[in-house]
Amino acid sequence: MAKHIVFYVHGMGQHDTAWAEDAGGPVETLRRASTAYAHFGDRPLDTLVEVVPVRYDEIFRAAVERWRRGAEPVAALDPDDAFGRALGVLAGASEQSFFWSHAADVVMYRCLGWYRELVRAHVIQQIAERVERAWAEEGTARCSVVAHSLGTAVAHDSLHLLGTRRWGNAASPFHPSHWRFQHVVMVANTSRLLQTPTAEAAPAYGSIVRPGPVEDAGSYCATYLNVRHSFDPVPQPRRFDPVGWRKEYSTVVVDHFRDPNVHGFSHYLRNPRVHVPILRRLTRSAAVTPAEEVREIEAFPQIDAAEPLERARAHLLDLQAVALEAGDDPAPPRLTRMLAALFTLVERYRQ
Amino acid sequence: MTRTATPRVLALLLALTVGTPAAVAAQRVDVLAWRSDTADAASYRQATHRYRPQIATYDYGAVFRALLAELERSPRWTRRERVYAGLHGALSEIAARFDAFDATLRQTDDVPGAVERFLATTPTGLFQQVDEGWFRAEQRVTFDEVEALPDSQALDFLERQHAVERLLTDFRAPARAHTLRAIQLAAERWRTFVEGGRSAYPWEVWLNDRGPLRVRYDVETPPRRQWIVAHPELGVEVATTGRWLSDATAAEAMLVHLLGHVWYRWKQPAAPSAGLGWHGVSLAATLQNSTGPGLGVTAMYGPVVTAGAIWHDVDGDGRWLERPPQVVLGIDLYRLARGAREEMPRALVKRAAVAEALAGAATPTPPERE
Repeated sequence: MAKHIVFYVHGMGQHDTAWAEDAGGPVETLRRASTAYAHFGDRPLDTLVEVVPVRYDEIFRAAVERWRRGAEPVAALDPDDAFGRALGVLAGASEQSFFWSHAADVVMYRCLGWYRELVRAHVIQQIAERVERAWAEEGTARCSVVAHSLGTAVAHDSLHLLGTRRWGNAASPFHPSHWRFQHVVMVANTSRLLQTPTAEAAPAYGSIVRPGPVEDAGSYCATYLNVRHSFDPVPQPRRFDPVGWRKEYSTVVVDHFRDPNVHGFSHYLRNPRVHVPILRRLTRSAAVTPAEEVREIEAFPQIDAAEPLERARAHLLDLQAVALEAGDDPAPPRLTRMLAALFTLVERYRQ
Repeated sequence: MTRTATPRVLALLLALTVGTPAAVAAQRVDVLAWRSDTADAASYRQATHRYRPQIATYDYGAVFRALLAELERSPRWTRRERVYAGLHGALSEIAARFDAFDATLRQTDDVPGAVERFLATTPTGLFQQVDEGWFRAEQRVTFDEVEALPDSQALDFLERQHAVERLLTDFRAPARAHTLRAIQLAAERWRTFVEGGRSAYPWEVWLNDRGPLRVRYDVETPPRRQWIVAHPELGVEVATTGRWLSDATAAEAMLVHLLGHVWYRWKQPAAPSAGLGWHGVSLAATLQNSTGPGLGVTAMYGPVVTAGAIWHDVDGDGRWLERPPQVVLGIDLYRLARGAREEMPRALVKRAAVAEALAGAATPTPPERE
């Protein structure tokens, strides 16, 4: 059989073309984690899985750069300050600022429909082209999606559109009655927080991005794994927590501390409670034995011994307070403040 | 001694001959490592060779019925195996579904149309391998079940399953090509619209999606029109004190499109990257230090032309129209940020250069006061 194709969808922030395979990135983290299990001794993960990094952040970067280049000279010509701070803010847009490099991605995806559609079309194109190549070369396509943070909302919306739309006003081979994804893994899931129900998109609980059997028109994957960190504020508002879904849906909640940025993609994947079910899905359920799983989980305490315990605990509680402050359904300004507070706490801890 | 040793020797010989249970398991077919043997009669390659005439005429129903008959005649199966039952049940279901396609195809020469209509109503995903197995419900066959079979049966199952899945993928080929092209066009349209359309600041994008200003769009179709709201850009106001162009003076100004509207057209609908054309109008204002604010109208035609007439109430008596208007040219610097400067239309570069030269060379001259 051909390799399992895994689409990695990134979250907010800057990501280059090979982002997934960067040192310390999600692919390397999973690869390193896999070496703890005997199955991968003579079958390294790379021989079983093909990584396809999906990228869309360049759309946000280009938009911010266009706004900055447009506003910069005009701001100097605003003798009466008619635009108040708006032009100054745009003219001062810089990748050095957390808002423009990270939070703006979330706000733009949530609030600016044109950029949302461009991101979706761009992501759908990347996925569809790879799937079509697999169909043409192998006659089959075994594909899964592993998404993180903002990427979970992007992946959710893109998959729903890919599977439900009559592209070019014709029956689509991507419809779930003809083809489906193997596994969907959502890490720090924001698909409900950022959902934008429109005529073509569906809310996170009402879409086809849910598990189901082959040919079922109402589902688009075999299994759905939802991963959340108790102290990560990002997936807390409008938490993704469906009721009554099939048993192929599961949630993993973790609370470990290995880095002050508990929201980080790789920070999640380092935990065996997270990477074991992912490795099993991407390869074989028998790839990690129950004994190996128990061994690795027992060897993975909540807080790494190298960390100052009290400081780490205080940091986790601060993060929890940020989530509580944001509330259950934050409007974009409050959501932005929550992201900024997360960033500030992480920076403060690192100093 | 001999009596006790003999069974041990026999057991050892037997173990070496047939292998221990662990060794036997290790020799089993590994589904994930399996590759099709193109020489196998059940393989996709051999099946497509055998049924080439039927495939050429899109008579897939006949192909699936023939594959079903071959399975039923296969000496590799006793017909009592659960795996056989799953495969047989699934293949029977596919063959039965394609009876409807055959009936449709007999009534038309439009094969892509018939395939499209069939796919719109009939599932064809039954043979896709999903989550360590195939098929569904009572037909479900798992990796473990296949790997537990004798090699000859396991390999036969994998070849037959793969052949049918691949034939179904081939059957969908016209729809695959159409859909992929539609997806690529959608992405191309949106890229062209966002990067090459009339510039829009964040508040404009937001307002174009709200209330009375909402414009229609979806993932395949960007807006065909656009509201311009409080859009500032670099402008040059040109005033003439005499009859000749040499008498003109130009002043850099902030040109604000207070409220405007733009209509789009694709230059080549089948190739969106060829670009967007547009025309539009706006109510505009200029802000500059020398002559004070001005009000007027502008017209836009594509990325190159933004020009209008601006009136100033120079003496502050509230009579804006008592003096002839000044010409204003807009320079959409936002568009210059698309990326490489060489990507810009030559005319736009030229226009920006002319405007810069005008603004730089001319000394702003306030109109004479009465």
